[in-house]
Amino acid sequence: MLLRPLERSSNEGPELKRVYLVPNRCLGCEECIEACKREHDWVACNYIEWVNRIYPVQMVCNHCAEAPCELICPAGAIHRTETGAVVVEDDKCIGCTLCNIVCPFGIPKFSEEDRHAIKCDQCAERVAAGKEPACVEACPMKALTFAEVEDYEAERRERTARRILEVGTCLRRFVAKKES
Amino acid sequence: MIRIEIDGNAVEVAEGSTVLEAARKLGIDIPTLCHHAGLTPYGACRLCVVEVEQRGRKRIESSCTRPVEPDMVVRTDTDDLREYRRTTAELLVAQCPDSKPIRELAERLGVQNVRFEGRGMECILCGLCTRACQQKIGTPAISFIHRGVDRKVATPFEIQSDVCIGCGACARVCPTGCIAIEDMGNKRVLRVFNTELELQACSECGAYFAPQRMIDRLKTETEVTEGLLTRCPACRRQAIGAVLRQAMR
Ligand code: SF4
Ligand code: SF4
Ligand code: SF4
Ligand code: SF4
Ligand code: FES
Repeated sequence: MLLRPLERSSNEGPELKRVYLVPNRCLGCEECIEACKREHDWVACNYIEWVNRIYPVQMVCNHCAEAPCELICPAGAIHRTETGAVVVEDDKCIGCTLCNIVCPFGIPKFSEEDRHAIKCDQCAERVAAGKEPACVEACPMKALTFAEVEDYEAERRERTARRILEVGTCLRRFVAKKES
Repeated sequence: MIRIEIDGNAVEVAEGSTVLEAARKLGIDIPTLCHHAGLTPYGACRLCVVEVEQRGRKRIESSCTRPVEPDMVVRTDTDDLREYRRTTAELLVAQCPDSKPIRELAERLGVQNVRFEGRGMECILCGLCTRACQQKIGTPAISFIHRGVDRKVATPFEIQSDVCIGCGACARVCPTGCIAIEDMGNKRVLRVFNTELELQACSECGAYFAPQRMIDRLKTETEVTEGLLTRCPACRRQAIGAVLRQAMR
């Protein structure tokens, strides 16, 4: 049951797009979860975690490089697709739940009814057809983006810069008021 | 790649593939019982039989164990095959009359009444559980014991196993559903194997989430951080969620 060495490095291939959360947008409405369920036979692979009971944080699979779940799966039921997503092949899964226990993010679920593990496949079919993952499309607050890390970072930096500018403008007005 | 013909359709599959895999690629449904895509083929149930024609000779063979060969012509749905499968299914029902999945399968294959005297077992000796446990989990927790009519799957000496990690793979690959796993408080019980395991309590919330022996094996045989392994998946998500929230402020 040792972590199997992968025949090829699992993080080779195209730069992976991931589902990222845009700060301070998510309301915890769970539309993403409903969309994921519709896409995946009524079992959702994403979660809303309430941090300190008030801040909703949407969580999906990280599609890790050298993914622990892929490394541990003794049946070879987890592999990386051409688009870079780490997915479970349902009919190969023997139901040992090891992926559920090793995932640092607590993502894979086990369905006793379907008898196989269920995890985010980054909506493989939709992405192959050129669409965004279901959760990203469904979010009414546009709190999720499907992007490469550099693009996400760039967007985030720009947004932060804008916010600082806005704060700056407010401050100036505030200061100006006081002085007058 | 090897090209074969199944029910009049040509299909190309990699060398070493089985006839069953080739048929599934075409979307042809062949009934199976002792086959699992994640485990090595075994050829025990004979439900997956097909007619293979090669160099003018026809033979009935189990498709899950039969590798493809060039110029094979395969038929999956002849009268003979249906009859063969029906008889096989009848024997299976006789062996485990109380198993719902087996009765449903037999019904699907056209079995109306069962002509054979039953054994009243639940296990059909397909060997899926032992294959999962020995080959994939790498534990010799369960195996076939005794011969003839007494043949069955059990732990050595049929007593509490000291190597079973309680992962439950055996129960989930079992086609008759005769291996039950019950979690009761801090114990996981595999009654058919006379085995009881302690469950690990989450270091954060205290919920029992996985057998301790499974966690212990992961601790010694993998490089997963120890602190992580004793935390339940829900608490891991909470922790990561908090980190994300922090990073986004
Ligand atoms: S399920 Fe977990 S371990 Fe596997 S790729 Fe996703 S985040 Fe990584
Ligand atoms: S539960 Fe299935 S997918 Fe997960 S590690 Fe076990 S065999 Fe692999
Ligand atoms: S990317 Fe697809 S599979 Fe993953 S959480 Fe979103 S909707 Fe679910
Ligand atoms: S639960 Fe025990 S007997 Fe069953 S497959 Fe896992 S280790 Fe083997
Ligand atoms: S599935 Fe082929 S012999 Fe059982």
